Amino acid sequence: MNFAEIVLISAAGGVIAALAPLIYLFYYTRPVTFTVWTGAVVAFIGGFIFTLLAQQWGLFYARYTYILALALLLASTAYTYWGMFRRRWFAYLFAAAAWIYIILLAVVARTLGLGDPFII
Amino acid sequence: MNWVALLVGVAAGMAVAFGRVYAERLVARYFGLVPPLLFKHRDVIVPFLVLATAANVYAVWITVAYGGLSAWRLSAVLGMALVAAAQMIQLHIALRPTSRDLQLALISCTPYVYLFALYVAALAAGSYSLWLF
Repeated sequence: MNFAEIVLISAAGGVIAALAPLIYLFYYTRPVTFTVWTGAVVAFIGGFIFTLLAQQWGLFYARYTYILALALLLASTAYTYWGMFRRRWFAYLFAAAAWIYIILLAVVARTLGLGDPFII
Repeated sequence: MNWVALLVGVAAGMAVAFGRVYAERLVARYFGLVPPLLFKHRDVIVPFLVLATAANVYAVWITVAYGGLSAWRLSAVLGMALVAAAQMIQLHIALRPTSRDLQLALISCTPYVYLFALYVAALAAGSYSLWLF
């Protein structure tokens, strides 16, 4: 796996995560508002990061923080879909919790001078 | 098994299917109706577009990766032309929804039948290459 392949697979994961609820909403002629389009962007970012991290399974599968990050990203996608189906924007605040967790891990690892963000 | 071609194909197929449901919504709004009244076979067409576009992208990878196209084998060039034609028909199905959707979808399945026939013929002939002629 080189860098271009990893980024292509991550982009495909993000597009699939964003388009699945959009196709559902359009197919069943549910109302599509600004909140729904925002949710598509949030779902793309979540799916991109999830696929990016999931491709590093062979390196980090024994780390607790890595498994927790994957589980939090799945929960984040579920919250995003909830926000898209019910058109509630505050669901995206719950969805951002996983990103904040990963950013905190990266900051802590940078402060401690470690090589990767999954510290435990 | 090429995961890049598979995932990129599924993502592209979902984009085409999204174009289909978006076009259905626009046409139905123009006539003041709901999409299920206008388009009887949308439950078949929407998943078909996802699968068929994924199959097209994967077929392009098969044709290019195993040297068929770079050697200018007639069977490989024919397969690539059929895949390109099928993709154009499927884009037409997606963006111009009509009452002939199912017929066009059936016609656009020719490259898959052709590639499967090549595969069966290569197995029967004991050939190591898919590109028989």
